[in-house]
Amino acid sequence: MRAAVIDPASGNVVNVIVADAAIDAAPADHLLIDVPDGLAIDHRWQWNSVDGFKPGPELQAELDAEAAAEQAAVEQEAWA
Amino acid sequence: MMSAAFGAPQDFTPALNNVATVALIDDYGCAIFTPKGFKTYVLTIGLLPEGRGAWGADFLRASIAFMFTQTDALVLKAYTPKSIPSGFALARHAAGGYLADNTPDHWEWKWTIAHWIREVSSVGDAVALMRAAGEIEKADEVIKRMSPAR
Repeated sequence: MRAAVIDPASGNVVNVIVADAAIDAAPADHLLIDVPDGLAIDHRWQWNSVDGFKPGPELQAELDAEAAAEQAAVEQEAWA
Repeated sequence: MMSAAFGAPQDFTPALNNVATVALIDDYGCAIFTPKGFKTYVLTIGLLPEGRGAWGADFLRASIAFMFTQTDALVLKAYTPKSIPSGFALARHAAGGYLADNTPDHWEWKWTIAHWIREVSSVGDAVALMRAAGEIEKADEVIKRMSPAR
């Protein structure tokens, strides 16, 4: 089982380790949150108690750029 | 049958739980359009023996028309296994798909909205159907991009 080490002040994922948040202790001054199966969490993600894991600004910008590029490619092909 | 995987049953439960999936069913067959990227859907069609031939061709053409005029679809894709040659005939000759890829085990077909309007429908008919279905923005887009006055 994987768990993310979270900086509670920023919500940033600072590490992903093999651990069980229900059993293992979090490193000092950090939170330990289980990573759902299938979610490719890394340091570019953030976590909060309302939304759970979500992409951080850098990753979100990258995802937005990919989506925009895909949209442009599809529209170009579709209307050609 | 056209599908994205061959030789094994496909579990469509996740796709049918997705509100963006479009499942069209008639007397002798069904067409399931699974979203795959921006305004793009992958078609899987299943026909009973009674639906093969002219009925299936009509059903597929009507399903494609439905997607282009009553949903946000801009591109449709389908995969026909080479082990089922009738899939080639259905996709290409009956439904006017164009060959997008050719692998050792399957053909990939595509339909784009512009190609469909030019080859199968018309700007006027497509716009009328879109407006009747409430796809107003899409109808306006067709006029903007494909009107003869451009």
